[in-house]
Amino acid sequence: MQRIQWFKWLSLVLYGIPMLLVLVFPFIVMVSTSFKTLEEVSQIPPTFIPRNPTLENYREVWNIIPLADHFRNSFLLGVGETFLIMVLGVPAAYALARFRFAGRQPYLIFLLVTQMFPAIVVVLGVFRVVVALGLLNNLAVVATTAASFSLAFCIWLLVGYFSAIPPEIEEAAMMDGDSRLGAMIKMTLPLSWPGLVAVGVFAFMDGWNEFLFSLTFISNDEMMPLTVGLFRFISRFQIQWHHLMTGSLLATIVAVALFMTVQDKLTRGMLAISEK
Amino acid sequence: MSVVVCKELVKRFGATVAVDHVNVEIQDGEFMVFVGPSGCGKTTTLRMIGGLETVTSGDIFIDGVRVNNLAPRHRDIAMVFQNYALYPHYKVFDNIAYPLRLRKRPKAEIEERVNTVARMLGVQHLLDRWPRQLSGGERQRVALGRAIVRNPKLYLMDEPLSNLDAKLRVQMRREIIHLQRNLGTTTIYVTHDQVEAMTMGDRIMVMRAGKVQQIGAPEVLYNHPANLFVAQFIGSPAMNAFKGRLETDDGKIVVATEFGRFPVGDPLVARLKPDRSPTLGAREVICGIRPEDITLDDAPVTPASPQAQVDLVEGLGADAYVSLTIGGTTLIARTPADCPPAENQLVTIHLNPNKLHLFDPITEETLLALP
Repeated sequence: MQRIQWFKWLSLVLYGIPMLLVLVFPFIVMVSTSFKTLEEVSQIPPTFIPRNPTLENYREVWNIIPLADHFRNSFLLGVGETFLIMVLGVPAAYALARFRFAGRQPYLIFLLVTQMFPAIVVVLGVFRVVVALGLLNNLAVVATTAASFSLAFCIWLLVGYFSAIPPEIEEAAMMDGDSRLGAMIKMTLPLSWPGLVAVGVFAFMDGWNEFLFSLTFISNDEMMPLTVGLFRFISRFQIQWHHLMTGSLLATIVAVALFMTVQDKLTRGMLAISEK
Repeated sequence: MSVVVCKELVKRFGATVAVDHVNVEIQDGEFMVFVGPSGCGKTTTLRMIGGLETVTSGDIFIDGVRVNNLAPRHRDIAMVFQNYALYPHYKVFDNIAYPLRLRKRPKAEIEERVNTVARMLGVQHLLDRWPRQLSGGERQRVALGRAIVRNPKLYLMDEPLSNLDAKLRVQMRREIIHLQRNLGTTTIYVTHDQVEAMTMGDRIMVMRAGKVQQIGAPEVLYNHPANLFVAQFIGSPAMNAFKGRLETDDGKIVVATEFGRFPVGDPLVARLKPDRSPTLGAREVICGIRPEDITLDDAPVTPASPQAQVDLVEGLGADAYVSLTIGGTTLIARTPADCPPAENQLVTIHLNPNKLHLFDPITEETLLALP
């Protein structure tokens, strides 16, 4: 018992704390920079605690870029991608988990292969299609394109969750008088709630963090999400570090706050299921 | 209540034939048991009747209506699964109420019916629990409750007792028999346990490798098995089987084996199928005898009487199983436990001449017609 205690402390000191510092370091820099002036940011040696803390950056960022629009657009991308992934991914994963059909295995492998292409490879081609269709500056197009890239991964995740639910539960529901769709909605979906939540969170984050397609397909200020909006603080000759970090911090805080509000609901749902 | 008919029913999974031209008619109110070793197609047949498996070819009729392409929910069948398949996210009450809710019954009726069923099965104190809080036996009762809460045409039970311990299994077996008698609903019960089949079934269908071996009442299967497989599958310990030849001794038919000649009783001779009459000459057979139809004697009746050596005596309280070796063949005899022979002792064996079973050595089909 003693020995285990001792080992726990040693591993915490040798591994846990350094690891935490590495992970948290960028956030510390982000917070600290958001309260500095541009001069102080470029000082060498750098300061951790701002010498003259200022809230000026927050006012400036708000005035320089349409921050509210950016937040709204990022949120729409997150929600839109989550919606698309759920509507398209859940039925696809359900079919792959429940039915044995010719080509099932090759299809699963094909899905995996699509994950191996970096999005940058196709962005030019997709851009030309989007231009040809006259759909530039359209958030729905960005959400759809981004979703098409994360869909394969989400289907894989969901197939695993659905396969873990015994098919007899659905069969029992069908014998009791349910249709297959009814049995899926009332049995398999609630029972794979943790999986749906995980995939939903993943899809939302993917949309919230979407950058490449937004940068390519959107030029209108009011249509830009946060990622692209903040990117404009990086110009060819100068990086507005103080503004960039302030915007990033706000984006992070909002995302975290968003998850804290839904987290309670999500974990309660997960607990109810996992106690089975 | 209803009649179920399967006609030339076939199920293929790719190249494997799981169910091979099954023909069976289940009568109204009957308790029919499908029995066989694992992989024999009994569960697949049951699932086809329930609509959970598609039919490759052949027909299923319930009350004269062809149901091949009918969804399970339109067949009005209730099913009990081996692993209970309770809904983990519903409480016991809601599990039992589920079929009624789907049928949009009024709330008061649901309440009343669930309570009635719960009382019937002795689970009324569990209605507010989650399935995960129940023991195996309690879960099985809830699963039964969910099946009987509506009055379906037919019950399907897929090895419902095999996850229970031995004692509980015997108890639940009786409860299911009582339940079925009281409700009078046609029931199809799948098991691999021949004891369950013998004790529960009005009739039994024995299957092997997708094919029906025999359909009949338990005593018919036990006393008049259609082939060697049924003979050895039904009954415990299994029927003894050994090679022999039908020959004639002074006008009497006997089975000549490597360890002795045993007379064949006149009732059996009368039942020998005509085309297989041994009068044309000696005929090879496989001879079967149940353990209880072998009697043992301490002293040889004649010097020529077949003598066997006792290898092992297994006492069961009322009976004892005696393993015997005779001329390279092992036989099991069942004797009263009060005076079993000693191990390594030599005993004389007598086979009841009217209880012999004769099978063709190639087809393994019985050579005896039903009486």
